[in-house]
Amino acid sequence: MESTTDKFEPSQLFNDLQDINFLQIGLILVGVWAGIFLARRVLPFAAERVPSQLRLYFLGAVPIIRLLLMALGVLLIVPILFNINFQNFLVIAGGASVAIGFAFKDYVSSLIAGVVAIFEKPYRPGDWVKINGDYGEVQHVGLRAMRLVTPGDDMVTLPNLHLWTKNVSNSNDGTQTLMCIAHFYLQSDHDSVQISEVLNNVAMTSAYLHYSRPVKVIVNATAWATHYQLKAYPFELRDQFDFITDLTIRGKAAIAELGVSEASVAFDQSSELAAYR
Amino acid sequence: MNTSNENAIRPLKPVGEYDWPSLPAERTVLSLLDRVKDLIGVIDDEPAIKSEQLQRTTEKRDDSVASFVGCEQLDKEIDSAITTWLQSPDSHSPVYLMVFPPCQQRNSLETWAQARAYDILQTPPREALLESPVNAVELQGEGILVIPELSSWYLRHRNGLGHIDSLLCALSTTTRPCVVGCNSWAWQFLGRAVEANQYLPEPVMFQAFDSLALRQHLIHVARESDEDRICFRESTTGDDVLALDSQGDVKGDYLRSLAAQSLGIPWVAQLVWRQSLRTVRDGDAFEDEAAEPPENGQSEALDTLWLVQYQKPTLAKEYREAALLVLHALLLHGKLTQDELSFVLPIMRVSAQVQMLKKAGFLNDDDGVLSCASIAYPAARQYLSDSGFPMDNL
Repeated sequence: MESTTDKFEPSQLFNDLQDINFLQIGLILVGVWAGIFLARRVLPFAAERVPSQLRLYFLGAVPIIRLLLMALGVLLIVPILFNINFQNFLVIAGGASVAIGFAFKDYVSSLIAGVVAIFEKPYRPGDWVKINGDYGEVQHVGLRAMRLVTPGDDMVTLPNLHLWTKNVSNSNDGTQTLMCIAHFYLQSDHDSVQISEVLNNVAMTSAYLHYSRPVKVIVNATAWATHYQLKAYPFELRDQFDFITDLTIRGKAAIAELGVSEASVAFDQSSELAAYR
Repeated sequence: MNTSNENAIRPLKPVGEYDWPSLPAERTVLSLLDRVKDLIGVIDDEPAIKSEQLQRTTEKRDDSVASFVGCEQLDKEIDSAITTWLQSPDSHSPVYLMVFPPCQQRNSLETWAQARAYDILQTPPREALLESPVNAVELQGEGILVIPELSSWYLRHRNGLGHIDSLLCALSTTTRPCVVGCNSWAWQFLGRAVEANQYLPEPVMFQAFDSLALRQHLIHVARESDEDRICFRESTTGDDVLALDSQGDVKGDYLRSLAAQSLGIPWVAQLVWRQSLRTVRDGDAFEDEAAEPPENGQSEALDTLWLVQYQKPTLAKEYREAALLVLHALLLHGKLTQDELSFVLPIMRVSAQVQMLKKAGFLNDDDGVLSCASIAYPAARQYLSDSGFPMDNL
């Protein structure tokens, strides 16, 4: 009969060197790398060429394919390198816990957040998001970090770790459009109904307007001006700044045509203005 | 020989029920195969006649075999619909709205009204559309009043909706029978901008021209000419494209393919047809042993015209975004001058886009009045759809 101490005797953790097929490992690594490389090149390339309704689906498939390929690679390589049994699993898990706990806590937290981001979809490639004060189009969602391009063409890299602690504001949430707002500050002595109608017409006749989304004019009375917010949706996400520019230019022209003056702000009131925005 | 099926007057259908003709599956696969063959440099099977043996027909010849005489079939369908509407005891609205696909060479409803001597409401001049205040529109009188095209009543500009508002108000209170026409893109815009669909009744439109309807139309436009004994043959297969089988159906795939290419719009199909016509090159003798008498209702073929595959115009990707804004504006308005275009578009170099679109074959320029070329409409529509633009609804 086997003694109880024999049961817990650790078995060999790594396979013998002569039993490890390094060529096979190399081929798996190259295969996974090639698959990821292809997905990262081909899908964004195709996304720019397919109908715009499909663009976000193509872009969103990249991180999912990458995660699946990496998981497949790990599943194929681990049995080649390690002698997997219950004892060895405990040894590896214990060692990994110590390493993660002390050295790679944030890194692993980011990796887990990266996996969560792929399935929960707080942001996807092609979405317009604001995280930690940075607003821009998500270019890439990696396992450790995501990259977004700001309207000023800066590339911002944000660790997925932010997902646990920061608010993620997604302007389009996977759809083809997002709300745009043009602001107008007018001196208070005017007919607000007339201005609202004119601004509504400005949005309705914009070349960028998405027909099936609403147009709203919101009016706020402030201490120093009447604040109009013209809210509407463009038919294409990437036109958002052109759309706001178009609304603003034509809105200002329409207001000037009615003889209504815009409110001007003295320098020391700028903080109040910022608060309204 | 015409079948009773061909001659049947098809009722107009509510907008939204358009049955888009689809490309025959075999032709879709073959065209994909041809593209692959081109890529790898494989020489295709021997066509019935080589392209080098063919030359473009002259415009005079095109005019004689595919003249722009209007669409007789469409006129009959409108006649039938209006008669039914006027006689129907259930018809509560004095207004009858018909939506047409865009890019007509001549407005079908206006031509129809002129031929029947109906009153046609004068449209305001384009330059007056931005002026205010707008006078009330008068619709009084006897008999049917026709308003051929609502898109002539507005400009997509913050001050350009006054006349259409006034017209819609007048239509909502009139007791005079009015037949109103509107292009499908303008109708979609007006539904959003001035809620035209709340003022006007449910719009109707003609059914898509399928292969049989197109055959009838093409025979009609050829018969208007002196040359009424012509055989139209496809250059690759040599088949008589107007031939019918024993069931009275169109024999080959050509007309089905033409119906799909032209989105079932007769005026687009006729232009594609004209553009595809070829004749044997001068001095090139062509022996055709397989020639058979035509089956398009004539007794004997005097002449053969060949039909080659029509190549759709394309837009370069780098200029597409701005160019599509111009095309979209033209579809919404029908026709605009370059100055009017700059009123309805955001700030951009309109003239550069116009030149580019003209060069690519997407625009017609009729003495400074620009419009989307009918033949390029299917390609333009596809580009606009792919780029996410608000589309028309048939």
